[in-house]
Amino acid sequence: MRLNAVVVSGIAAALALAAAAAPAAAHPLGDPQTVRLSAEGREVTALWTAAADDLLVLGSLTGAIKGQREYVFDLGAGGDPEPLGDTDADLLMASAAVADYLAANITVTQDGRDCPAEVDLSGLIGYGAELVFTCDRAVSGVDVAVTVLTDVDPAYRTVAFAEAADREQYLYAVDTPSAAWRFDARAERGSNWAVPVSVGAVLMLVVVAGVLGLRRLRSAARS
Amino acid sequence: MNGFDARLLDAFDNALWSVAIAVALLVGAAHALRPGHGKTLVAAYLVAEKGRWMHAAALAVIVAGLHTVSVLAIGLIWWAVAGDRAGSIEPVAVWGRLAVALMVLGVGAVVLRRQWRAFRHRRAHRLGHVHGPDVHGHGHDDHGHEHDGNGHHHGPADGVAPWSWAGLFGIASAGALIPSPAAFLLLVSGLLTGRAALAVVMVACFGVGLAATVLAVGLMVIAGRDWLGRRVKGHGPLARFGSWAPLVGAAAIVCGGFVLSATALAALVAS
Repeated sequence: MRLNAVVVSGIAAALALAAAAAPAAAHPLGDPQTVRLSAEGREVTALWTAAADDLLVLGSLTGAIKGQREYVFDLGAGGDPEPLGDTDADLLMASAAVADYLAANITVTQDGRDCPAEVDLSGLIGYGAELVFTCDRAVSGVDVAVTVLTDVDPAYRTVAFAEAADREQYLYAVDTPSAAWRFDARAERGSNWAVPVSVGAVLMLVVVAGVLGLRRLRSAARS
Repeated sequence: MNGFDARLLDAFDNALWSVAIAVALLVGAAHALRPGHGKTLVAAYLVAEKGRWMHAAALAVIVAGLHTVSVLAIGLIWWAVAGDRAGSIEPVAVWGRLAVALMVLGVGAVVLRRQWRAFRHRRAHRLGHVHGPDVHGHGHDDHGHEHDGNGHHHGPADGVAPWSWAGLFGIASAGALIPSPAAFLLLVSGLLTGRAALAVVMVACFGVGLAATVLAVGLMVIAGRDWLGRRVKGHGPLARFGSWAPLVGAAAIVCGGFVLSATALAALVAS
């Protein structure tokens, strides 16, 4: 009788977990894609990062990650299912297709001539994939284009940051895939605080309005 | 990102103000229809707490406000730390989910405890209506209540349940504390392209859209419950079954809290 109860509650818990797993997975909040630019001598370095779910999209787009995965179930004591072969991270980092895709979708041109890229994927899961572009001449002004994943969905966008450039940030989107950067001029710092401050003000406004609205509702409910 | 949510960014990039705002409202309402946005918890809460329309309205207001606040706050945090390589909102999302799960679990436990007491109380009344206060065994004499045989005034009255801020916020947080990735990306886009005003208005409208769906679900649940209540009046066994409903609703919140906690912990271990 008691065993039955345990079995039933176990099944119920498993069903509940299965039901909850789908919505939880359908709603990942992660960082937007970022690319960090810096230049030294003839080289421009771009460090590209993306959230885990975007990396999986990249993996399936380039074919680096196959749709299915094989597991081994060890029925012995303490046997956990173990995935066979390489993990998704290993597959992504070892994939030439991923490297080619990134090199094709993050490009640097100097005076209209492409600067060839070398891609290092060893940091892909952590600090980012590193692309080193070597141009013909010392870099001052270059055009940098970023179109990563916009072919999957035009809503994808990449936030670019630069050290020691004429601007600190830029938003690459499907309509703004390319921008000119100057690495011999520095942006004026500290001038863009008006926007966050006003967003903060709106935030306070929403809180105050919400509290007032709820109080009214409550007093209406009482009477 | 879900295909329909991406229309939010499309509208921000290309559409007129008015169209963009309408799209934000629509996408928000549609977003809440997808699984895992606290609709079941809202329904369970309203049943458990014998909620009325103003409970549903308050939940909707909190959902709209909380989602907007959380997008703006997380957007500002990201803005502040993004220049730094170590800056990431990933931990905010992971720990936020655990916080939501524990809040839901806490609300569920409190509501279940109250409804269980009320249920036992009602049953004690039904079984032995003429009894001394000692039968209850929860010390009414100490409070100095006036018991005149069958005119009891203690316990939650039928109808309007007490309005609990913690309960409302706990339940609403399940659907609104962790922002939609599309709304977050919209705000970041606004901050970076110098069109922050439109982005903030659209984020707020997205929250209002979410709230509209929550309100619709809440009102439907209340209407359905009241209809059922009228129907079963007089049917002994069915009416008795109806008296179980708040208990079942409270148990559903607790179950939901456990499921959310389990998935949040799994995500925390995996990260």
